[in-house]
Amino acid sequence: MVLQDINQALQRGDVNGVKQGVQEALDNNLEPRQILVDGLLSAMEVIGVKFKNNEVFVPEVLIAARAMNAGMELLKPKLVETGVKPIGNVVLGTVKGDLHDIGKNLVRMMFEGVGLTVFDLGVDVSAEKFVEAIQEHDPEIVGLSALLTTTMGEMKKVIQAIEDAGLRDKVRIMVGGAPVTSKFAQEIGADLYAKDAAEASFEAKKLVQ
Amino acid sequence: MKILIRSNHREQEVPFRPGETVFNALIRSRVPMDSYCGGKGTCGKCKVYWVQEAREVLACQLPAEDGMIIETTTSQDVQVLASSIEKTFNLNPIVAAHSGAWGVAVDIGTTTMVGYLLDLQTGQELAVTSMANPQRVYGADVISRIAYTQENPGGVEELQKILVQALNGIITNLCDVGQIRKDNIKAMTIAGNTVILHTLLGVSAVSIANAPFEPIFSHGQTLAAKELGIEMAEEGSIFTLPCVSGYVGADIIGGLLVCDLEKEDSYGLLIDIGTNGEIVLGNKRQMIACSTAAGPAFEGAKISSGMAGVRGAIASFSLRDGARVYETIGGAAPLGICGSGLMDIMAELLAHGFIDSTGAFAASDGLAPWQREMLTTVNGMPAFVVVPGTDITFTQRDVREVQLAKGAIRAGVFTLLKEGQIAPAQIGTVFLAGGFGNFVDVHSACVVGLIPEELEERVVRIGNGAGLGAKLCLLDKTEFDRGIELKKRIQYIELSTRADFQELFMDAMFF
Repeated sequence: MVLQDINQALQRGDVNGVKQGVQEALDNNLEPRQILVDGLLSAMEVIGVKFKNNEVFVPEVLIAARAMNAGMELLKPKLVETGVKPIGNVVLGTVKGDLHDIGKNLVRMMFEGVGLTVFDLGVDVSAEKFVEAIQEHDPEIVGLSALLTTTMGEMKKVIQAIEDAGLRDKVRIMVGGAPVTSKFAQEIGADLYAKDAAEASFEAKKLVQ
Repeated sequence: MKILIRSNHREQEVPFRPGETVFNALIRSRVPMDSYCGGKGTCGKCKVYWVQEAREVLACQLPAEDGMIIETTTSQDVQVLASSIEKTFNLNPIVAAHSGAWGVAVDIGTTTMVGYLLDLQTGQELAVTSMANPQRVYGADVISRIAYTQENPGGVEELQKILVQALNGIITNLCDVGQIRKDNIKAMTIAGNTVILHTLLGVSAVSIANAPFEPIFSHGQTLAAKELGIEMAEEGSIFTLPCVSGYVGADIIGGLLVCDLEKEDSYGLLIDIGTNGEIVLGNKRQMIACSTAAGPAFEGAKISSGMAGVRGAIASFSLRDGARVYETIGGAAPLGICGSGLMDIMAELLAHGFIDSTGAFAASDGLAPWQREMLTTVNGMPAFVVVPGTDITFTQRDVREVQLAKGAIRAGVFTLLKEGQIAPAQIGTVFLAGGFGNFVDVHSACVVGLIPEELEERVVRIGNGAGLGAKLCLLDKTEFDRGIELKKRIQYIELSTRADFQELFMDAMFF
């Protein structure tokens, strides 16, 4: 069964296997939505659970996500054609003063793995840029990352800026990163704290459903 | 007349002079002692346990008596690396020296600091002393200390004051041991990381903790001792070694003065492993450096059974004929695992197939019966039982922490190799600096992949490179000038802005 093959190839991080599987499934006239859900997303979910249990680690998640992106490139036009919408939008970035990329990328991939569309603003992102991106993309969720004790304070500024722009009620704000705690998240007025990328994606999915 | 000292690492007899305190006897025998007040009985840091009397006393207030058994307390007793490899130099002191002129070289580490007393006229080392960096109370790592200064007005001054006090404590200790007066100390050279040198000079290091991570100053500084409040000769001078960048500090310049990378045709690699791993690759033609965030795993932090390298820590481990063989520091009952033990365990688990190349514990059906017996489950995770009958285990999560740390160091090494267009085999010598580098088993480090495997036979430990570098500068001013030249030559690579670092980091996490 081709969906099963896609699923297995994705879990192995096999880019070519995923591509071939998705192409074959499309050639066999399978529903793009079914290929997405049962082929790609279900495999990423397995990876997410394994990651949470320490059975697989950061490299495997990134490799699996790379394979998923390869499959998505083939699948995306068909999804658009058939009118399949993402389950939600996320604006994501590492706050100003902080250049840490990898943890944030991991979160992006896990978000994409549960079917969210992510607008990744990159690293060293100012509060103004977050506000502009919210105005532009109208996301349900805003994700803020900080890896330094000296930059986590910047998250508070971003939340304040979102509030000042009158957008606070339109978005749910998630925060994360090594020095961040759920207590800190509460103090700065964030809605949610997630301790790792897998938990972030599970929580984000719950938020938009 | 002798007293018996039981410290974390060993038991030793220490001779004393009539009328001397236990504190003075200990520092004269180079037993690491903590003290900020230098034996005035005010700081309370030199507390020891007098076994016969079964009570705690301040070593500096305790007259030594023949046959005393003294146990130094464990809380402050971290492994301090004071010794280094030998290095020849020309005697040409950093200040004009006459008979009776002395100098002090200091390495200020994030956790510990070491001071050396040297005769500027003969180059002879008379005393060495070490203590914990008192800034530790503001945070274990430099970033937390910067955060403290961000949140607390006056924090910069506080950090400076406490460090200056500690330096004065070092001077007092050294003078006591060397039997000299403070005003005979004419010069002091200081190596340390960039953040620490900022705090010493009372300069905010906030810019180093925020992108683009630029320091306020990186040049070697010359200051009047008076200006800083350092208690030495009235006209005495303080020299800080130059830094390369915000995260490659004067401690690395000190190390480079020891390993002479820039004099050789073949490439050399200097690796200093701490919370950050600083790495320099270079030869006659080029020098490149980077800093990579290894985290505190190698110091035993974030590891479920991890601990610092103190009494009771498993410092070496191997599996021989299906049996566990380990040694603890001080030969004590095992309490946990320190960095070098961690590397040994990891290497043995890999070598015997307990763990696959992705870092996952192997399925039990792929293991021999003797191997299965060594495994257990901790919080639903597979784990290796390090010491049967105790809860000292090495869990799947611990493997992941080690992978992150070694991946960061290895990716730093490979980024420099890529930048320099060098193959690992072209490296003539790998110099390992710092405490972890001094205690880790090189074979284990190569099996785990912290150091490229093909370089196992080319590893040299330089010990406390920063301290030796500071000593060289004190005794030979051309070495101080060479440090300034090195700073200019080194090209610093900021890893966080490199697009290829993530890929290299991913590859480096596997085994």
